Amino acid sequence: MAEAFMNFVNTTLDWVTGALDMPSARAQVFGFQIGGHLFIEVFLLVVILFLLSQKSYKPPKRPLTNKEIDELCDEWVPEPLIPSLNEEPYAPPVLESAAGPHTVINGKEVVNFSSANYLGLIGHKKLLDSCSSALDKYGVGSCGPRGFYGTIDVHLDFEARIAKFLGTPDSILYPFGFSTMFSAIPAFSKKGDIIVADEGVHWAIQNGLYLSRSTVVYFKHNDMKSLRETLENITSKNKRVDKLRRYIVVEAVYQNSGQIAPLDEIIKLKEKYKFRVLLDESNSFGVLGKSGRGLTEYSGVPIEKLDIVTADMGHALAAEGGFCTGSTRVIDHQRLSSSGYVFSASLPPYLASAAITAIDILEENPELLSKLKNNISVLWKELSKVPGLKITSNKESPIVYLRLEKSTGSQKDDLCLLEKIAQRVLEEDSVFVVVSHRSTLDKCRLPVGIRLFVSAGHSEYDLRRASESLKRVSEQVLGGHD
Amino acid sequence: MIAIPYLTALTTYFSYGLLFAFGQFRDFFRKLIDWSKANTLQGYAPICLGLEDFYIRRLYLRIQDCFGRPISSAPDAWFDVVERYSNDNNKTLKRTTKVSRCLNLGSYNYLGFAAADEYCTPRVIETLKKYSPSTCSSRVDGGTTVLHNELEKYVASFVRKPAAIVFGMGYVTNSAILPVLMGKGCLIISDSLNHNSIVNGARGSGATIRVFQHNIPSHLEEVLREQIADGQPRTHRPWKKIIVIVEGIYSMEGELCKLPEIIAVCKKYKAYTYLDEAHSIGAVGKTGRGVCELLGVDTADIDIMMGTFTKSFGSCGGYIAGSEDLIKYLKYTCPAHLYATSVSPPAAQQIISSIRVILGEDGSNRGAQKLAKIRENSNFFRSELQKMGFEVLGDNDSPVMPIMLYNPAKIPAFSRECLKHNVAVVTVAFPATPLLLARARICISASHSREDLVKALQVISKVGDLVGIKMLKIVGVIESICVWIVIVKSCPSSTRPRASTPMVFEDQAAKVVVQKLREEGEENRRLVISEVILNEWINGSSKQNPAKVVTYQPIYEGIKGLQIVRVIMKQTQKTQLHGVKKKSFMGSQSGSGLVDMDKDSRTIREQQVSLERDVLVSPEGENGVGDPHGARAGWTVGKKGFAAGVKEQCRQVEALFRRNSLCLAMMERKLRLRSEPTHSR
Repeated sequence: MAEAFMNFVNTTLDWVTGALDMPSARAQVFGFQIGGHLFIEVFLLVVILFLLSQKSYKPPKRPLTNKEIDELCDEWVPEPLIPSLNEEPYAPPVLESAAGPHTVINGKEVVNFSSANYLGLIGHKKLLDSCSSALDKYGVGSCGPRGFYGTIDVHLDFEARIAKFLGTPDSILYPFGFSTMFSAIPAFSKKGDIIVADEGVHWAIQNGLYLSRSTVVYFKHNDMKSLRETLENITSKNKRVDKLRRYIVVEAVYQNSGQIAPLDEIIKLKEKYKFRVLLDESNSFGVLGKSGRGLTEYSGVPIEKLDIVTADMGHALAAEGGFCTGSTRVIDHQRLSSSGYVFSASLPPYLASAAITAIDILEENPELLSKLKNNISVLWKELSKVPGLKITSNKESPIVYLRLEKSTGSQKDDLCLLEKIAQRVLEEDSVFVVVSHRSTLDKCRLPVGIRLFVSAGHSEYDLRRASESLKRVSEQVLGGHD
Repeated sequence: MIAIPYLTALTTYFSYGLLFAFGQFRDFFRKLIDWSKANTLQGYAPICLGLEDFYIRRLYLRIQDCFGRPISSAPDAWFDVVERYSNDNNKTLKRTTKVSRCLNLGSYNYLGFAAADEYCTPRVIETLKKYSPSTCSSRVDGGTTVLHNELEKYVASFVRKPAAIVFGMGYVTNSAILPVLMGKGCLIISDSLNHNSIVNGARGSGATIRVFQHNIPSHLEEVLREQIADGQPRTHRPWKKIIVIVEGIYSMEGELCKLPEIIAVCKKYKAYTYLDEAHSIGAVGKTGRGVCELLGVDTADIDIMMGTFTKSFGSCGGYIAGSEDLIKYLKYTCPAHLYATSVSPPAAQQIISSIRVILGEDGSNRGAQKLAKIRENSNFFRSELQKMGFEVLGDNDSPVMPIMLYNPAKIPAFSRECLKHNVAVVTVAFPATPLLLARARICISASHSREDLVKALQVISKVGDLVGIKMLKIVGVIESICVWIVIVKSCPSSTRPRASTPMVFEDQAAKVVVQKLREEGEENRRLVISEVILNEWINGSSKQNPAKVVTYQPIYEGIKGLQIVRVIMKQTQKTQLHGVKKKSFMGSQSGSGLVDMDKDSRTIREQQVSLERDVLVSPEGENGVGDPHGARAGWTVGKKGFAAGVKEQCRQVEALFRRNSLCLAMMERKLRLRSEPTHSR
């Protein structure tokens, strides 16, 4: 058996040697003996080519049949349209008269600290007169967007008036304060551009930042060190940064904390790192500065240094709508690129007329501003001694913001406590203060608090009444918690 | 879908190309001139970028006098347009003190509440005195007055939903609600021509967005099936929820939403529905309750109803109406409720008062009159425009009617020429419409008198000739209506009229019949019409007929599948036209043979023609006795004199309508013979 096998091996070897010794195998290429390699290599090459020519294996594609899609559609169960709400939503008190410094709730007159009626213009006779004559002349609504016969002459008058008042080349009027920022930001910042924003900005700005699709970097609330680091980081890391549009977005007086942005420092940083500044003056226009021109006047910064300034007219001007002011180029660009301006019906003319009158009143009565400033400082002083609550707002901010000294740890519980205080203050002492309710969409994580909007219309007695009531109630409510 | 003729598309592209090239040319020289000057940017990137800025500077500014014309009075039927002049080639416009009194065809003043109203205005002024113009506070803080709660109650009952919430601006209503409802893992399916506020809201929500072809329910179904089967992108998890967003009347198209079909599709696939009634609420429907009322859709089938107060109510703001839970949730977390200033009290009062007028709660029937007037005005104006040969978009009953302009040069030409004749029209171009589809838009109001409309039509006709936008050249128009009556099964045989009795109605009489059918309020059943079916119907058995349906568009849908379809047909062989006309076009199955079209046909024969006609189709036809051949949508063209002969019969039929449940089977409104669009004039 073994012998037979050996024989077989030997004959095979002989045959192979013979094949390799064939004349072709002994061929020489450039003087080299190539031996039998040639055959084997050619053979291998053929195999490789054969394998390559074969299609690689792919699992067969089987699109879903109609029946399968039908089944999937049947199986699919959507979530309910809205999540079920366990708690009753907060029901705000219903006002039975104008929202002036004093208003009527449940038939009882109360002192109103919930209305951003900083100059106390609600119910001002001149304002009402201008409104009613505008209503007679123009009707209520404008019935069209600005582009399509929705431009009423008072709109243009207001734009000119506000530009003149602030000393800017031009301004643009928006139909709603809330839409001003979230329309203006996406008009100037697109995908790829860089925005550095304060983490405490209000929702309308947050929405604008999101809609712009730009790269948004937040810095710590009103912290200039953090802003500098952020700017430094961005400019040093990114080489293409010169080609991108860069913005710093800040609020003059933060609605979510009552702090005032240090504009002079921001301007220094902006000039160093070459960023443009978008400033929201909603709560500072008509309040800060010697003549109420806002944060720029207050911090002595020429307004030309800022690129885009927006403000809500629903606060100090006691009207509605918003405006944006800046260079002619910036304004004209918005007239065709800003969605809230182009695609929305314009501001009812009577409100524009009210706003013009409000500026006139502000210019003619500088004592309103000094009264407001006095009121702010009185209330701030009084409220700095409230037990259990801490003032986070700036001394000169028209929003006095009180947060819990000791947070319970959860925003919801904090809110509950504060709501309890606000409710008792209203019921027991007829002082209407509000708690900062936050939407679940809001990304702002600053502590919630009680907000008091100071008005020039409040008397010293009102302020004292509010502070005493707050002191008494919070001591009772929070005393038990410590 | 708007089909642009090739030549028009070509000339439009050419015009834009020319404008673009010339603009670039100017920019090039501007750069050369500025070369020596110091760079003003100083390290900043330019604040206005790219094509958008180029478009504004080099295209828009040339014709900016056509947009944003200031007015100095209420936007009523007639208003004062402030004249402007420019010393720098339209770069800046300066106001003058001069005004010209113009007829207003631009404002969304559908019911005429824009001007001072005997009922509303005194109440608004009273409210102003009581509540001041603003609350300076958000709804959840100190911005809720008695008036706001009352308004929400009124709105909810007006749109027939359990609860409602109001906001200070219509745009914000859409853009702030969608992020609350939808989020990551959710799908928004939006009509391709939805308003920018919906687009922005959808983008802001972070949900995935898919688009379906404008107003095509079958494509919506396709998208829904595909999306539900595929699930979320990449992870393939099932969608959390799907919402379909449509508008009641599309403001740039004037079209009514095909709501019943869309609702049916959404129900089938368990998608939520969101209806934006910005232009339709108050303007259409018997009592002004919008498209739901007009098209017979139960509001309970729509999850979220949105609308604005800017248009019909002559005020400002917007609302969301829905279930109690939905509104409660929105009040809990919607940013526009929590942070934005509440509706100005006088504006709120205007809405309440105007709703009261519409519902007749003011003790007069002015509301009903206004609603009747706007319908009558819109339909009159639309049909007259169509007769003149303008390419008018949109559906009957809709007060919005766009006239296609296409070429960029025609935008300012049309607008300026109309203004010269004291008619103020709106012209719309990019970015509100696609670049190629520039148009003029006319909004009809209940405050327009018949004389106003006639004047407007005269001017528009004249300007249309001048500018060359009467794209559909009309050879002959025959105004008559033919109605077949088909009796449904339930009808006792004794009351059936003789078979195959063609009825010719005058326009007005037809309206009466349609109105009656509507009032009966029968359940809506609809028929989806495909081009193939139409071809079959129209060509019927006559095989030699070379006519081919080019396009069709439903222009009216009523009860029991009643549908009037405008069909544009193309005659392919000139020589056969005469024969074809007699054999199949003229009431193929009716045997009416009433038509003497020879005079017209002689003119037609010389050219390639398209025929445009309205066909009324009914699925009940198969069981009817009026049409022995089954559901054949034939039609008859009758001369005007013919109508008088059958008036008596019409009266009988009307009586039958009162007694029985009948189905209006076929109806021919107008036959239009027209040539191919003539453009290059």
